Amino acid sequence: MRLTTVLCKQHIGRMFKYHWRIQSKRIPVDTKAESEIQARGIPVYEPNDIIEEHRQLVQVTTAKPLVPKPIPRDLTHPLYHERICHMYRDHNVLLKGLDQGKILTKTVEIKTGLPVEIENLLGVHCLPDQDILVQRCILKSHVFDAMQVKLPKIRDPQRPAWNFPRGYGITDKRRTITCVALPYLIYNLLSPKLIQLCEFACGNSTDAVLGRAVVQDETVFVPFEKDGDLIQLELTVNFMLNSAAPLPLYADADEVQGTQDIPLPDLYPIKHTITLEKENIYQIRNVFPVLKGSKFPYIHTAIFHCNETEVKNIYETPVTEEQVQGRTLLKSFAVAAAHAQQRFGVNVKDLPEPITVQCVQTDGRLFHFAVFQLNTLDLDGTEGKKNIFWMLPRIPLFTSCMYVKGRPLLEGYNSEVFSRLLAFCSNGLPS
Amino acid sequence: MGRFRWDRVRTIMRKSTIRIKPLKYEQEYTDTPQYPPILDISYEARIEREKNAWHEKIKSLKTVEEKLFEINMPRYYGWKPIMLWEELIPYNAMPFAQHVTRTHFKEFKDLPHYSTGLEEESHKLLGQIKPWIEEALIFEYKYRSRKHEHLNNEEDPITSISLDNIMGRSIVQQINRILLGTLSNKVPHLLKCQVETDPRVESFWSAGGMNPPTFLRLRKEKVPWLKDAADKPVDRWFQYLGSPVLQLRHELPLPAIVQMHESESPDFDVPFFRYDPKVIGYHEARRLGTNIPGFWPGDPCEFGLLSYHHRGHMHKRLLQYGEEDRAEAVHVQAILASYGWLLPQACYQGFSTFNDMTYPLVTQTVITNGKLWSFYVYQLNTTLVHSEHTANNPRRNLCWGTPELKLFEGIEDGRVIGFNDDVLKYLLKFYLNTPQVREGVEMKPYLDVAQKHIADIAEDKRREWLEVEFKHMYSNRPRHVLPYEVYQWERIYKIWHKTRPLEARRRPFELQNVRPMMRRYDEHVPQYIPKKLREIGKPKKKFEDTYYP
Repeated sequence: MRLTTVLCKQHIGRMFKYHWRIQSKRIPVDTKAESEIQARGIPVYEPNDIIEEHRQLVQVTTAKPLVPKPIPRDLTHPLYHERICHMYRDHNVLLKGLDQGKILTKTVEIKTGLPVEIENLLGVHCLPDQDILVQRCILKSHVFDAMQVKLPKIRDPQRPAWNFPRGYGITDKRRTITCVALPYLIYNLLSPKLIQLCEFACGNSTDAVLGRAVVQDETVFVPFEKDGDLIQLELTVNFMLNSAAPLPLYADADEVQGTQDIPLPDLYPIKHTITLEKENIYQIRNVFPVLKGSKFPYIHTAIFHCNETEVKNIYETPVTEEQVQGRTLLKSFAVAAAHAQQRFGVNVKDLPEPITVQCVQTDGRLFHFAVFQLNTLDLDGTEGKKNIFWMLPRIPLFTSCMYVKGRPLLEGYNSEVFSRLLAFCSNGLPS
Repeated sequence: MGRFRWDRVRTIMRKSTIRIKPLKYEQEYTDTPQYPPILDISYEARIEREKNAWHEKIKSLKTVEEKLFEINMPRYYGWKPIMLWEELIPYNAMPFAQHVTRTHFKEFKDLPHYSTGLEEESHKLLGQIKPWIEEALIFEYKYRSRKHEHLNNEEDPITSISLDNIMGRSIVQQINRILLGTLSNKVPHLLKCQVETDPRVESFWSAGGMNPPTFLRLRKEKVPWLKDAADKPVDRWFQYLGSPVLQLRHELPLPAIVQMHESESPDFDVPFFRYDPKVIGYHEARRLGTNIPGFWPGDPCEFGLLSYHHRGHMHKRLLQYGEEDRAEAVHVQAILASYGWLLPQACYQGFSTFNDMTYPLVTQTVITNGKLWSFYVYQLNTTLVHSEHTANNPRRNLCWGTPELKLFEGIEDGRVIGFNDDVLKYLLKFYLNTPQVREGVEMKPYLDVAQKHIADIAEDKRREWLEVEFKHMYSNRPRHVLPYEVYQWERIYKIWHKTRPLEARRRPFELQNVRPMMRRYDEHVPQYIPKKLREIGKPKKKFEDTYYP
């Protein structure tokens, strides 16, 4: 039937609604039956009391689910503590970068650049075809690596709603592995030369040369107290070279005493624990990847990765140069402190002898070289002995390395990075 | 994409207008009559000719990437290969693995060349290197605290499989570091070799001789002219996905172990596996075939020396399979891993699963968890394992392997107990085996001299287009339009039980000659050029050029 105006005149919908409203408020008509029966002395019951069956429910225990339920992260959690712990993990960056890091770890810089002893090592070892091999290594990991996985979404802050086609390719994390390949390359190139040297010079002392152990992708946990706050660093060391002999100290006792006069930066009104994650569920642990009693107990060089996908600010602003430097400082402190706590006991405050670590942080292209000397673990206040940090600004290994118009292209290769890395790795070896 | 309709394709694409140029009188007539060759016009012969023409086309393509591209050209949504994951080894898979790779398996003791020159050298070096290896083992087993021990993983406890793999990985890294460092002044090729961790190794090939799947047999039985050949073996595609731990590559290939023609000897027998691979537990998936030996074409180090593999998957192998099957499972892993790495290497030299090798390639494979070690040497002599070649190809691939060996018994009081020198000796031999220039062999006979890779192509537009499209194809991302499927309700109410006879027939399975899955890779509308971006003087050129091989 056609829906004509005549038909539409009678609005059934409205009638239906009205009827529904009336019917929904129906009041039962009192038939007076109840009062009549009560008057005759007959007991009245609610029908449900008679009809309803009263059953005792038996508790049934069900079998454990195949996938156990996650433990709720609340007050009942076995690791719940009243006291808040400030956590610093791999994805964190400090709001104020290096300055905040200096306050947290009570560290000062006594000079710009690296220690003279390390600068002197530059160019001491020169390996055959080193630049050709390094360039090949870079091309291998940035261009010729056949990894194709879904990359993170591309976002343009100017056009937040724009959907870019999703890229497939080498992840940031995988690219950063270049830097793991480089020390291996150094090791590979350096060892035969050194073995030869040792055979000439000191007979059978290849122990000192090859006597190193490599640890990859391991964690370091360092808890400490700072001005009444509990702080724990839970960080990854992507590559750690351990040696049988410790590195020399780059600041002597006088210079260490001199650090008492150097002031720490002032962050007021910001507190130094800002951007650290506050947690109640935690476990205080001291972890160092190499156990006590090993033949290679001393840290030599540590390499940390820093890729854009994982390391982020909480407020989505891009990570600044300062913040990357702060990350290097905290990571090198964590490695040195974990080592110190293992060597001298968990509660050590004033170290019997300082610990030196060489550190490199990299995203595969930019390299940040630093040296850290841990003098004290008494981090309260701003007075007293302080730790020392030497560093260089970040140096690029190359300007770009990708397919340009269908051809693989490496542009702006900088040989300084590899020579610096070589100087770091060959530190402490006979030349 | 809306412009593309699969129901129109068959009519549009298949229509061709041949422009005939009138011949001159002298060209038209010759003194002796010239007849075209007499061709067998039976169905099988026609199909055979089409196939051969395709294989010849692949052979004639100039660059490596175009050859790899062409194999996927016949299917828009990809082929339907049997998937061979490295860790997934079903029960009794040895005859299958040998058949699809045409491999003869032998005990390691029979290996000819390894027992002479390398034997003495490795014996000499053993004493020097053994203390280092022992030191590394003690360090790894006794003085390490590992990441997984400190993570809060009560909900997802670490399995014995991943524990095994974690240990294997650290020990392989330490041992590889020590061996490269100490041996590289004895054998300088190790200085220039490339070390790759967790490379992407994939290979794709066609093998024949196996019974057709049931659906195909039933379908053929319905067609009068295919009825007789319904039970004939069909070619199947295989896609291997490897997961090596570490690989060493070099610019030069390893020397051949036996001459290629020696592999034609009937002593090297290969078991014939005639069943559908599904019967032993493999499965199909639809995807584009990929041949990748861990790097893109163009990397100078394109020959493999050595690859390490995990054996954690042995933990989930059922005990009731028995000891013999356990040993065979490792062999299967090694055979597929070696073939799966060598085939893409061969593809980068211009060969393919349809164009046979002209010289052999060799690789060495180690399967280990740090304590148990198995060693394999594999020589690839032929890549032809499809259709009639399963029976007729005289060449076989050869694999020599050891049973699993224990490197040491245990570690007590800071000392390694029961160190097995033989294991280290095998490993030393693998590192000492020097790659050499193949004298008098043309390494890339089927590639163009000037254009071996896409990067060598001079024409900018074509080079860029091929580069982007090749990577797009190999990423195996889902296609722009999702593939057609028969929904379950359709299967029940329309196919199994014809309950909806009055409905218009619009779905491909109800139509004649519409087969969406048979769509070719290039059957799509090319990229549209917006008006303002069109070339000056060519306002009507609406679509970008395509450069499919």
